[in-house]
Amino acid sequence: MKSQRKILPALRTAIIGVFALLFIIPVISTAVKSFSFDGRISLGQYWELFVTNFTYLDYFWNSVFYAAAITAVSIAISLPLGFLFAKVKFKGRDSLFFVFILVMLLPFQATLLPNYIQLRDFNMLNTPLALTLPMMFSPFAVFLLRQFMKTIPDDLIDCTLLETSSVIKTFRYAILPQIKPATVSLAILIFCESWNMVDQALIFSMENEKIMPLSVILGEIPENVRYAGGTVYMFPIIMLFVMFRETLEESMEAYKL
Amino acid sequence: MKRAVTALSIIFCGIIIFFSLFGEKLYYSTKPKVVIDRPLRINDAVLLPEEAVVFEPDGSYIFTVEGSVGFSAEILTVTKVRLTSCEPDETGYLGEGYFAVKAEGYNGAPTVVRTSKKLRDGQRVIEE
Amino acid sequence: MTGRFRFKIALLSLPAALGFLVFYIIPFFRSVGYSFAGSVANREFVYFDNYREVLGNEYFRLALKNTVIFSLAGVGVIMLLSLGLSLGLVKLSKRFSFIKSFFVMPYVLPSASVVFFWQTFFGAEHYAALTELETLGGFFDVLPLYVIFLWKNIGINIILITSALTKVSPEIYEAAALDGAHGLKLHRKITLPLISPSLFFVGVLSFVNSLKIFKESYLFYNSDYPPNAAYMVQNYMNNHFYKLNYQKLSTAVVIFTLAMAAVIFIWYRLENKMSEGTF
Repeated sequence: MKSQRKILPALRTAIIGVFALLFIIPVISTAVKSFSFDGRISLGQYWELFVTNFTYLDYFWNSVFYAAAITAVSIAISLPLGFLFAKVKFKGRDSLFFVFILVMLLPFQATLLPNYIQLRDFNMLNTPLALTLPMMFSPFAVFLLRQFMKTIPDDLIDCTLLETSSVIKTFRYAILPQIKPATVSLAILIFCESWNMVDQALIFSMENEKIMPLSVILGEIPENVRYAGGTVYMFPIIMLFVMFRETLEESMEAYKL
Repeated sequence: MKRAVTALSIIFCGIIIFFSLFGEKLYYSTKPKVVIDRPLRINDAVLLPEEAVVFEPDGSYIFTVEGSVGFSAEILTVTKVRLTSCEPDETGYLGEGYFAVKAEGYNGAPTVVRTSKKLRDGQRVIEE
Repeated sequence: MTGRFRFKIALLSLPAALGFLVFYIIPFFRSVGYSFAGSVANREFVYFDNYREVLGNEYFRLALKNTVIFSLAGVGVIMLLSLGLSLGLVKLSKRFSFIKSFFVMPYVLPSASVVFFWQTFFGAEHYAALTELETLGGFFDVLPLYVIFLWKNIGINIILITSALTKVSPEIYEAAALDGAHGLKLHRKITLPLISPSLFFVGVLSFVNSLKIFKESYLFYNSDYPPNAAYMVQNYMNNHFYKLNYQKLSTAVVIFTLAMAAVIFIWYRLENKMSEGTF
């Protein structure tokens, strides 16, 4: 009986450990294969990638620009709206929020066409604006920020409001410090999602390949540098993930409604 | 762990920025510059200037060029072709200093007529 | 909260709200309008002709069928796997809790990077032979998508389920053990009902994520026309985008949105009812 007790936890750990390793294999395989070139282990693939295919980095910076712009702007403009839904009472607030949830849950299939129509009418198709604007107004940021802000104690806000009626000061001293780790996680999540943007690039910049992000172009680079290209592309994400792992996981738990 | 990650990230940024600035220049400067010509054929042989032929102990060679569309720029690769015969040009059709050469399967494909550096078979080159 | 403060907040919220309105709400109603139109030129009201045409189109039906099958099967499998893994992960000692992160990483990784691995993995000769088998209606054609879907989305499910599991107080387990419940029976009667709200949410989340598989599908098959069994609603829509056929496109979008809205609404009501029922 006792030996059974000891084996079971160890077995469980082992099985889960094996599963976990299986999950990581695609990443490790891609990274390892990027160091072989012409059958030898070397950095040759990277040289070939950066020099012979020197336009690769142009697309890389495209992705950087889009992801950074979308993250920064969407968080900045969603903060007040999130606060509005979280703490400011007004009629019809919850039904309105439900609409946000609805749109957030709708997959690209449903939101792609409305975005496209508007971009077309504003003449923004095939410009960098098309690949940033719709995503900046995504309801996801508003949703998460509202969830986070709901946990801020009301008294804190009321106290701060007694001392100042400046919105900026309120945010700076009462709201933001409370939700800082959560906001960081949100920023990282939005960054990763924008870094991975594919559907929008395919449709909104159909005719202008130069402004496309790396996510779409990666499939077109020559086969002998694919692994290096993939590794470079996922490197920033992995670094972000490793640095902010705990914060990310804690905040993901707030996904619930 | 955190320090390793930060260090790696800085190195990564450095590499990316370096190659973003110098990638294209490196591509063009690391390759020999060649002048390419589509030579004339007369009487079964092809006329090439002297400088196009490379004389080696085991024979004479020329370099033909093949272009393919690369991801970022056109990629030109040279192939070393062994000459079956190489005689000074008698006709004088294009002037002095020409050879009439023959090689297997060679019919006047784009050929290197001048190069800035000694070429190897299969090397990539840039057209001047 | 003074009126001035509320006003300032509302003012600052304007960009986000306006953007949302302009890019999502208004154009949606416009596309509803398009779905009732003939051709863009004459703007005639063709009633439900477009709907009949789209619903009758064999490609749309194929896409719809594939999407439904994929979503249902995918959600079923991922729920089981996530639950199993979570139950195991909760019991791990603190030392090993970082293993959880291994499962979460695929969620944030860019798809384009790892798709090469999957292509090589599923491109081997043996697998190509399997796909030649005509049985099971192209099951092996679409299996890569299932694998990639599970790989990517188990992480977030595990996080949600494990956090719900840790909130169950140990005393309940001790009380149940005293009553002689253990193993599967314990989980079925005690654990599952206690975490059912979270499970429900995980189900809906997985369903929503299953529709996003288009990204991986496009990158994996590297074309607009994947094998028949993998042809989904968004493929249908994308292809119509290239043909600039707005009417049909709008019709498909409206149909799809209505279906999704119905599902989400039903879930919302059910979730409210359930959270009232349990303590």
